[in-house]
Amino acid sequence: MADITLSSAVRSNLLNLQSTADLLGKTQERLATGLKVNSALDNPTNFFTASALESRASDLGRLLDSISNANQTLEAADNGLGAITKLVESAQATARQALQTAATIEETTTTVDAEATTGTGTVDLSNDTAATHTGDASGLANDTAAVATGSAATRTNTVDSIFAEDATFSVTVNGNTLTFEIYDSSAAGTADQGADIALDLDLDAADLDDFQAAFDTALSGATAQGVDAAFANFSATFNGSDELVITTTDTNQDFTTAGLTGFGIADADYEATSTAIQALATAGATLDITSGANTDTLDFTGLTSVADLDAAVAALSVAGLTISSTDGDITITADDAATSFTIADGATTGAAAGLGLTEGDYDPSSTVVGALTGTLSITVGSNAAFEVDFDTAGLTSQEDLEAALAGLTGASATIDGSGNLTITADADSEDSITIAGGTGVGLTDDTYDATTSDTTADVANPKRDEYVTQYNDLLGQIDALVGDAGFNGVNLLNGDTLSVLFNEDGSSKLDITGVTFDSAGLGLSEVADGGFDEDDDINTTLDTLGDAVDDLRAQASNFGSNLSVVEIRQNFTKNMINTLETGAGNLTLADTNEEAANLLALQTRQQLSSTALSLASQADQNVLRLF
Amino acid sequence: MSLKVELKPGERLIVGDCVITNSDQRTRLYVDGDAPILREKDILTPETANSPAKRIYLAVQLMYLDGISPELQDTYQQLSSEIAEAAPSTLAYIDQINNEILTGSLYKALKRARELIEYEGGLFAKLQSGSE
Repeated sequence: MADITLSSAVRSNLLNLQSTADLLGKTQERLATGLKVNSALDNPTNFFTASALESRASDLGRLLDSISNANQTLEAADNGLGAITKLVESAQATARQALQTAATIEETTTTVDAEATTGTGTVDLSNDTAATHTGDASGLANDTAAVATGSAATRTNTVDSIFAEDATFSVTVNGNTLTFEIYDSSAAGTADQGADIALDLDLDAADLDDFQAAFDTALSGATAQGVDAAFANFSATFNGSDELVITTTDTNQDFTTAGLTGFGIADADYEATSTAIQALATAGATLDITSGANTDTLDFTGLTSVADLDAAVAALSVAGLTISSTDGDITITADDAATSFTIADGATTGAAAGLGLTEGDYDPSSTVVGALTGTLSITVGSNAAFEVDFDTAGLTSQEDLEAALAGLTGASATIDGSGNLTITADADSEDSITIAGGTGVGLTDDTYDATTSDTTADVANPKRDEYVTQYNDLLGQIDALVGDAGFNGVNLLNGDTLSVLFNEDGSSKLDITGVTFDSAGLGLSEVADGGFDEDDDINTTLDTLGDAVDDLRAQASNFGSNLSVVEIRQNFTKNMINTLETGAGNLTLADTNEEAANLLALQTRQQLSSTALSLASQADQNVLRLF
Repeated sequence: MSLKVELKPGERLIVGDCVITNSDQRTRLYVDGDAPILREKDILTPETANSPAKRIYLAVQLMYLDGISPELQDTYQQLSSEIAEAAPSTLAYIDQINNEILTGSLYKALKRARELIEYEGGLFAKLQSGSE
């Protein structure tokens, strides 16, 4: 192309052609998009104005969302206020209804002047038999014979080594004394008066064996048995150690010797003993006998025989009780029919078992109670009949009968000092008492009624308390409603504050301060039962309710005007966005001549339009009419 | 701080709901309070508001004097969308008026409306010169 040279005219034409092609391209693009201004290069002013307006429209769109939220929050609060107002008005209606309900009603009260009673029975049920208990101590019987054993003697010595002539000695059983007298057969003389048996021996010739043989024969001989038959079992012998031994085959026979000290046999009582008693003594067994606060203890320590045991028992003393024993068989009897006693082993046991006593409480008894038969039936009011079957109950004493009757409900059974039974209904009970089978306990079979009298008095009308309940329910509903009156987390009835922004930078905004309009916030408090009994109290409540309604209405008007402000702004903003969006799109028409022509046309059109008329009529209602 | 107003003889002034007419001499007034105040030269009436921009001014003026009623708002919206459609380049002015109304500064909105009237006058002048 280097050999082509363009003249200035050709170059100028070419440039024009290029410019025309350029314009053609632009026109085609504008035709395709429908816009005269498509880029910043077309018309910088219009392009940037349009973009600014479009972005402002979208800012306002976001603002509109928040205004719309605020609107709904206000509407929710407004609706809530309306509903609360209705509830408060319901509460007013309830309180007024309560006021119109009679404050008091007549109520008949039945007073029991005298409870039902059977009257005092005619049979003495008191205890008449003293408590008693007898043991069987056969297990403690003496089982070891009494033995008197002397010291070793030289049996080949003559009798006079021990006894002088006319010397006497004796053996006593059961209080009967058998007296022996030494009589010298080698000398003339007679036995002394008073001796039961004379032992005729040659004092300086006969030895001690001879004496023993004569003594043994005489001791169990016929004469001795004439003094006491128990002597038949006695013997006097030398044992292997040459000791003189006096004993008996009867293991329960005591004896006493006197005058045999020459053989080393002390003048003493010789007792049969009991192995069982000695075992208890060794163990240290004790037995406690107690009556009320009085007690005494039988202590086995040191006891060896039944006689020891009887002596120990005889020494026992418990006030109110008589304690005795025969051959170890202990009998304990209360002195009167009111005394109880207790038998119990001490720390070391075995005493009661050994003595044949049963540990436990022994109470006096009543022969009348013990003899009761048949069934006593007591019916109190509408209760099921209370029955005591004497044939199977095994009652023996007044106390047993009292215990059996203790299960009676609605009435009580008492036995007085004379032993007479009375059954009386519980205090203030209107129940009757019906007795069947009461002859044995001295009660007449019959139905006994309470004596009552009716009195009439004015009492608070319970209907008013029903209104109290309704009223309190309404307050609860108010509280529930307030909780639900929020929108989007903002509750203007529960103390929240709402800030509504009207422009993008927040310089124009409306702050709406919420209120707390739950029942407490409205000054309403729950009414206690009986709180509507007095008309004055209801009137006070009505006053409070009136104040609450006033508050609610004032707040409703406040929210209402806020709502209308927000609604106007919302509407305005909405329209503004529309205008901005259409306008920005139409900026393509930014041909001033065209615009001027359009305006002129609009001016003419508007003169006849309803808009201008409306404007004129609004001005007419304004101070402008004075111009 | 009080607003100072100087009135020429016979000049009128709106303060709130009242029209104040000056006597035959110059008067200087000091006004306190929130009531809307308009001088006679700033007042358009339905008769004098005879162009699209002036009608917008009148609508804003009514809002200033009486508060924004829904009815008035509708009228204003109608007027502003009409002018924006006919002459999109007025949109910048309308947007400013809108913004003042939104933020409750109605007196400032009036001032912006006056600017719109001037801009409209400019367009009309162009038309006359263009048609010559």
